[in-house]
Amino acid sequence: MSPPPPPPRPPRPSWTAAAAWLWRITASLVHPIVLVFFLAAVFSRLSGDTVRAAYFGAVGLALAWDRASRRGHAAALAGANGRAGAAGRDELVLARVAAFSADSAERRRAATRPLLGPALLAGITYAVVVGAFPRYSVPATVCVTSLAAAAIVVAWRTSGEASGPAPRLRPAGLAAWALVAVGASALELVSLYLQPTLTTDSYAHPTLSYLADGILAAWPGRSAVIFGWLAFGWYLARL
Amino acid sequence: MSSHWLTVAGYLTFLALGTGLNVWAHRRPRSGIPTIGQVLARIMRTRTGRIAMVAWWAFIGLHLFSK
Repeated sequence: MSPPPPPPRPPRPSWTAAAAWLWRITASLVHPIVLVFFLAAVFSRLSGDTVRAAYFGAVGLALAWDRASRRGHAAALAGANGRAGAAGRDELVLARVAAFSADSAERRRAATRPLLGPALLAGITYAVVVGAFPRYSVPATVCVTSLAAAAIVVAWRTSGEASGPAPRLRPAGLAAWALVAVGASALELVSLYLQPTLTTDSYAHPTLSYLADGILAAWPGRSAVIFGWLAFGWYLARL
Repeated sequence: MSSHWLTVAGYLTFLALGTGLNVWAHRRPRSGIPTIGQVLARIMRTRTGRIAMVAWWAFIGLHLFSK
C-alpha cells in the first residue's frame, strides 16, 4: 500500500506580493487623518513628551496598517468576486462592511436611547469617584486609562465603512471649520514654543493645559471635566 | 494688555468663532456651513475616521488625568 500523497505546499510569498503590500502600506500613510496623528507625534516629541508622541505614532501606524489590510482584503475580494460573478460580489461586500450611514446612525441612537438613564447615573458616579483622586495619581491613571483603552478596543472591533456615499458638505463650509481648528491649534503651539522651555509652564504664554490646571486643581472641577469628557464620548458614540 | 490676557483672548476668540459658526449653521441650514455635528458625523462615517475620533477623545482624558 502506497503512502498518502503529501499535502500541497502553501504558495511562497513572492516579491510581487511583498511589493504590493509595501505599496499598500505606503499609500495608506498618505491619508489626512493618519498624517494628522504623525504630525501630532512629531510635535509631541519636539516638546519632549515621548509617551504622548508614542501614543500618536502608534495610533497613526495602527490606522495605516488597518487601511492597508483592508485594501488587501478588498483586492482579494475583488479577485474572488471576479470568479464568483457580480451577484456574489454585492453579497460579499455587504457582509464585510458595517454600515455607518445616516440610517444606521438613527438605529444606533434608537438602541442607545434606553441606556441614557443608566449611563447618566454611571457617568455621574464615575466622574465623582475619579474626580476625587488627584490628577496623575495611580487610581486616576488606572480608571481613565482603562476606560480610554476599552473605548478604543470597542471602536476598533465594531467600526466599519459607510455603506453608501457620504452626504456632501460644501468645501467653503468645511474650510471655515478648518480655519477655526487650525487657528486654535496654531495659537496653542505658539504658546507652547514661547514658554521658557517646552516642559516649563509660562504664565505669560499659557497653553490650554496650563489654563485647565486651575479648574482641575479641585475635586468639583475635576469631576465636572471628567463628566464633560464622558458626555462627549457618549455623543461621539451616537454619531 | 499683557501677553497672558492676549493669549487668553485669542483662545476665547476661537471659541466664540466656533460657537458662532455652529449657531449660524443651525439657524441657516442653506448657508452651506455645516454644524459641528455634521462635520464630526462626516469624519466618523469611515472606519479610519471613527477610530481616529475615539483615539482623540481617549487622548484628552489621558492627557488631563493620566500619569
